[in-house]
Amino acid sequence: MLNNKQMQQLVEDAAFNLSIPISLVDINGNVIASSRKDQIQTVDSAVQGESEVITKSGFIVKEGATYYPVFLSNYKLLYIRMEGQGEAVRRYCYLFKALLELYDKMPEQHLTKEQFMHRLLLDQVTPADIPVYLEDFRIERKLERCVYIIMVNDKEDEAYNILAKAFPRSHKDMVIRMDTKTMVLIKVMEEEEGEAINADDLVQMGRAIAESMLNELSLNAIIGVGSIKDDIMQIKESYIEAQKAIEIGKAFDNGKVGLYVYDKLFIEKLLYNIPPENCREFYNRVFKGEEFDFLNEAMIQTVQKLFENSLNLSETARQLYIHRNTLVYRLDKIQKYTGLDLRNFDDAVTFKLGLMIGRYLGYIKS
Amino acid sequence: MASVVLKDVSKVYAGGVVAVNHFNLDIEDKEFIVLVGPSGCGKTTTLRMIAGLEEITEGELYIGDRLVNDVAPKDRDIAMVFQNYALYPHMTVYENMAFGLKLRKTPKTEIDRRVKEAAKILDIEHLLNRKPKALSGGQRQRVALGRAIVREPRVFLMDEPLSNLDAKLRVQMRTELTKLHQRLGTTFVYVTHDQTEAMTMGSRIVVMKDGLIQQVDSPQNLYDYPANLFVAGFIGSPEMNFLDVTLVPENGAVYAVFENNKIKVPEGKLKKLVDESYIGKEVILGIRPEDLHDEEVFIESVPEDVITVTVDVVELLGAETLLYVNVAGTNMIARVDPRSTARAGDTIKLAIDPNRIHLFDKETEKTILNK
Repeated sequence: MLNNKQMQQLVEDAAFNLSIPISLVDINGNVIASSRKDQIQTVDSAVQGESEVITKSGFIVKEGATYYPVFLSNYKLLYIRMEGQGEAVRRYCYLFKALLELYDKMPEQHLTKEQFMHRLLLDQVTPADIPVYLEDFRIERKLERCVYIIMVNDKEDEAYNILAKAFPRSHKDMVIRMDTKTMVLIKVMEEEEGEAINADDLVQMGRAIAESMLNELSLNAIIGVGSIKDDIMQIKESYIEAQKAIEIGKAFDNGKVGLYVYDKLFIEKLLYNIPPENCREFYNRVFKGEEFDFLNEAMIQTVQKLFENSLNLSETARQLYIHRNTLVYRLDKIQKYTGLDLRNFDDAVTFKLGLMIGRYLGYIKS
Repeated sequence: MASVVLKDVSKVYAGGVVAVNHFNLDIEDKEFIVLVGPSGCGKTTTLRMIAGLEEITEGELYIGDRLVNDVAPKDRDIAMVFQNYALYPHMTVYENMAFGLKLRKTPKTEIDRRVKEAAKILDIEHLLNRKPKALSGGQRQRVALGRAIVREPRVFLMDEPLSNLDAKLRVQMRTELTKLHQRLGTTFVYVTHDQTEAMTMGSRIVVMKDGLIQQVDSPQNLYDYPANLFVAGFIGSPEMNFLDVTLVPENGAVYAVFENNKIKVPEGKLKKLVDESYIGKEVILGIRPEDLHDEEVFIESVPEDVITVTVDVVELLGAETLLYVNVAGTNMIARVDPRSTARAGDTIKLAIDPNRIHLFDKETEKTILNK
């Protein structure tokens, strides 16, 4: 059974998608819902005294608009009013009528707040229902929020408890169980000390969660973080991004890091969208199609440290506790096999991409 | 407070990678022990095994008198401070510090007491109502420490907790951590790859490489009596100079000879060389930069221990001067008086303090001259 708010939402969505102004009018001419909000609760004079004619004839065109009757449980008889006339408008009227009847016949659902948010994330709530639930649960629609997916493989109840305590509902945050191993935190991103939230804050929050899981439960949680959305209607996108962040992040670090922030995975996202055959071609070009023995753990660690230190040899050698000459020797060895001089920025970028693609290809293979 | 004992502990990962190999160590109650070594040497894995975050493949681990191999981390009575310490940005300092206790359902009054006490120790009482974003790096690090302190653990485990701080702050926090250890009187196990941190903070240091303990000793003993070539090179900055020499007997004395230079080995060190048949053999001679002298008086006092070098670079550091020199194709560093007149390109004489030389077996790389 549709109520006025749901009807208004459906009218707005349909009008937006069809690019035609739409209203719903009762038999006395009262506008119940309209895509032109100023017309709601006004009287449509075209319908006054004509209801019988419209009902009998099915479609009627009056004052440049097409009217079509629809029977709904609450109102019995209503008229769909669409601006314009002709075959196309009539078909739109017919489709919209079918949509209204479908929603009207759907059994009424009584979801808890958690169930509602769970379904909202999975895009399983009808657009008509969303405003009703938002109002029922007093959830502000326009508020900056971000989705964290937290996956654990053990002690799920305790992990949920930690999240629930760290992010109490009184702070407008929500913790939802998606399945036995997966929880979602919908974090309201309010400004901290007058400073706007940025991607680094998202990382900090993720780290704090990971550290609590490790310290309290010795769990290595896998955490994906979506981007910040300022409308709850877009929250499912943040959820999808968090899922993608985990999927993409794991492909490039073999699951070693455990915290993946969608807004920080720039190169990874780019590479992930390149077809594997192109990746393979690039990898083979960089590493000359061979598996090199010289690329052992120590060598990869050396290269990674060099990248972390912006190609600064002295600092890299210091941090690795090797002599600068040892580092130079290792880099010369890489140059000998690949032709890439990692002291040179362009070559370093090519090598880094090659390493990342190598990990990605390994992930696909496994 | 508690001792920590690792008996023949090993960690082998899937695929057969040995991260820690038969590790034996007795950490005394209230001791500040530092595990140091290059990346991948197994120090963090060892710490994580003590914390219970890594399973022990082989061996036994005791905290106090209790065997804790199968005890859950939260029941081990330890607190860990990580390299990438993270605070909840939406919580105040107080809330961050209290969070772990809140999860353990500690009474509110007790939480309040512990948080305020820890804040006082760390001198962050005035920051308790602030959010992490309003804190400096050093203050955040103190909060992370505070979070560990409030748990009142028997053992603190710290994994490179200062590595995210800038150089100046690191020095400051080093001193503060030492004071904190004295004040709390608790066992500290501290992991770092920074030998200066290790030397300045640890009451004992464990030097590791490739999953194996290289040496366990006090900072001074490690510096003065390194057990092998790795420890000798790892501890000390600039690192120890090494020369390939042959031990040649001459007129009843023994000289370490390389190219056209020779250094007389002091009589006190000869017995061991003779006993272990090193005379006539090639060994590695180590000498620390500060044991090379360019002062005329010193050169005259040890005429048989003087080498001729070419100065490549002179680094004036204010309190001291570093001479980067070359002798017979080998690069060396000498730490000399800032009033030294040596200039780049000069050929000068350097005296080696014969009592401070180290000799290492060329094959085993172990020290020949022990204490």
